[in-house]
Amino acid sequence: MDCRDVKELLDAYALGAAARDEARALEEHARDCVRCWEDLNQAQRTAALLALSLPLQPAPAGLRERILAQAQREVSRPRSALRRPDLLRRGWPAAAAAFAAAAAAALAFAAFLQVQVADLRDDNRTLERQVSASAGVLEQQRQLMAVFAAPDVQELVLQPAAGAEALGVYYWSPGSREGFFLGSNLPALREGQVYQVWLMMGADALPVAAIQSGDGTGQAHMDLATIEQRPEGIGVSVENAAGADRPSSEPFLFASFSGE
Amino acid sequence: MQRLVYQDLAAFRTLYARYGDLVYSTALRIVRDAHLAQDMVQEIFLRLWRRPDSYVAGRGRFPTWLISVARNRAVDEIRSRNRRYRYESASPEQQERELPSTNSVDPALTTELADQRRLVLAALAGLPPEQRQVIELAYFGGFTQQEIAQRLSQPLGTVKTRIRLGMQKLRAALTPELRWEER
Repeated sequence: MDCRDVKELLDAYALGAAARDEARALEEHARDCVRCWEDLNQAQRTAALLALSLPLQPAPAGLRERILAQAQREVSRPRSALRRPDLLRRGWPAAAAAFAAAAAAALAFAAFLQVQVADLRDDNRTLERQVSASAGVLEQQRQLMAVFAAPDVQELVLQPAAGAEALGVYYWSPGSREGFFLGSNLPALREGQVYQVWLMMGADALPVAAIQSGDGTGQAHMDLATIEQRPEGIGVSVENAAGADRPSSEPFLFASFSGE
Repeated sequence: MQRLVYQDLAAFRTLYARYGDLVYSTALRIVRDAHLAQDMVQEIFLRLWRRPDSYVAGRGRFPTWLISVARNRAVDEIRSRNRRYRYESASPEQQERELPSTNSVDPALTTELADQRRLVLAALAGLPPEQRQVIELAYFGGFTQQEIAQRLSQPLGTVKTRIRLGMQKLRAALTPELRWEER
């Protein structure tokens, strides 16, 4: 199936009316074709709006009680560390830190396993590392291309703070709700530090990407889908790799969206 | 939504209060069985409670994603049971009458959703009846293009063209809504 075939079929697919084999062929194509993937997304969003045309029927009150009671029963069972009451009380940053800690522990264990395997299979290890690194680079390139290829891509050049010589450009697509930051000449990092990209929302700053780099360049893909509020600016600061709730120092790169 | 990750029951309650009727209406219209529709609503919301990360943000905003889930689940159900209900296509005027009133404040819907509904109804009303019919048979009836062609005794090519043209018109008419979706 090529792009033309996809164009012919995507509306039927979005409505759930494509034959199974056609749907599968379309999915395979769209997985590797940024433009078709975008078109498909839009068709699916159009189709989803159709449900709003239905007359509203109130669900029985008993249903609400059943669902909430079941949810309540499930929350009162012992669950993972994430749902401990102390974490709930401590709120987002602590929970995020716990997430990070759990993820770090998982990563550490994964790394341990990898070393064990690698001891036995040196050649494979080298190969795997190369493939993994290439896959990471390719994935970043794919994300960057996806943002660039978006018909509504916008560009914003970040201004360096006084005394800084960093260069930064932010590209984003309101349509695909993705952004991409590219930076060079960034200030040197000490061990345990990262470049943290922030979206400024009034008095708050939302961390959207952390970049580790040893050569003063950096790039990061940002998924903006969950950001409800329109940001007022974007900034980049140097932060501890463990994470920060807000910039601990003045961003060395900054741009305001108000000029849009 | 983020609060659901931390099993925030109050957030879940709010979510249900806001969208429960919408999900129920969608399921009910497709499966035409109140008990089955209730089971589906329960399944969908509890799945969300257990796995809030199943929400794929790139596919639009949460409410439209949720009703798509309901629609797909309901269509799967009627397909698996081989229970085909003829989708009775109500005219926009009839649907307006069935609604509490798109001009009044519907407590079950946010203002944004109520505005969206008005636009979707207007967009559907602007379609030629034959285009609207195939789109509704596909989306709400769960029929494939081939099945629609057989049902309507029309050539498959005609059905395909009607779907494509109808969806193009809807896309054009709903562009502001799609932008809202992408925001």
